[in-house]
Amino acid sequence: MKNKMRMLCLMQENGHSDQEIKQLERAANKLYKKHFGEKYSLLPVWVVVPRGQAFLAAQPSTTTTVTMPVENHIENDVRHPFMYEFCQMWMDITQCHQNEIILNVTDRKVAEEFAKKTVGRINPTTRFYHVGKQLTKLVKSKVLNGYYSMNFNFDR
Amino acid sequence: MPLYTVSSRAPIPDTTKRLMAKLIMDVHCGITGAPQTFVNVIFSEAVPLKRGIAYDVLMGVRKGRTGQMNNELHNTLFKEIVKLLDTSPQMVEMSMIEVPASWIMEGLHILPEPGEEDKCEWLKEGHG
Repeated sequence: MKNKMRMLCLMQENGHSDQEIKQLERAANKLYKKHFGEKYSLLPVWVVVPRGQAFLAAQPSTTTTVTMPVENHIENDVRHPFMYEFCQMWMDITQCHQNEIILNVTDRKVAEEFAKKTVGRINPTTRFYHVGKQLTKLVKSKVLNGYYSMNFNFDR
Repeated sequence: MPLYTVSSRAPIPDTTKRLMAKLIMDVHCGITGAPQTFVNVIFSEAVPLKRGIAYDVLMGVRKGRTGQMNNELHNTLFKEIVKLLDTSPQMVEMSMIEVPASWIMEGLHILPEPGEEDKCEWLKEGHG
């Protein structure tokens, strides 16, 4: 499990087709292994941001933001070629403009800090229930669509 | 980057979301000098936030600014967001995570360090 890296993709509603998503997952996994080692694999999670809830420069955004961790203290001469190749791959598959893909490749400890803050905003007394509910949605989407997906709003 | 994630218990009206996205961009760029095209704001609704909290703002910003500037950014935004939402300061929670610019790629370019945007040719050519 330690070598399973969570790739979080914040995408706009109807941003990518099922086929595109599966293709992106395969290509991302292949690239990650190529740059960081065969022992790693990605666990992609797609978070759908409903229309009207994402803004770039105060205008409605069509951007997908992808965040994934790497081992701590990876040098930029290893990190950057991966990032460049990843964004190229993304653009090739989705035919998006280069400004429509934002990639964050963070050290593992920063990714964990983000995750901690994201979960930490939830009421501790009901956290277990709500996080469990979100995880159930993820599993359900995997069974139904073939990939892990959830909505950015908790009531959907 | 920056990426501002605004979580709320109840839905925020569309007009307020638009105003808030602009407010965050104006304050962020006004204080830090960052280009407007860097500023991402996303809203997450129906979030079961901590007891007594109605809004939570997570600020993901580039690392490398002074503590004084980060404090000014945090405090000014906090005050302005409370005003815009017409809510009590006790109901708003705000926190910051700093990420090195060299870990972020936008428009097929690694982001510049804070304050080094003027040296970026690709920014001058029009990003966003």
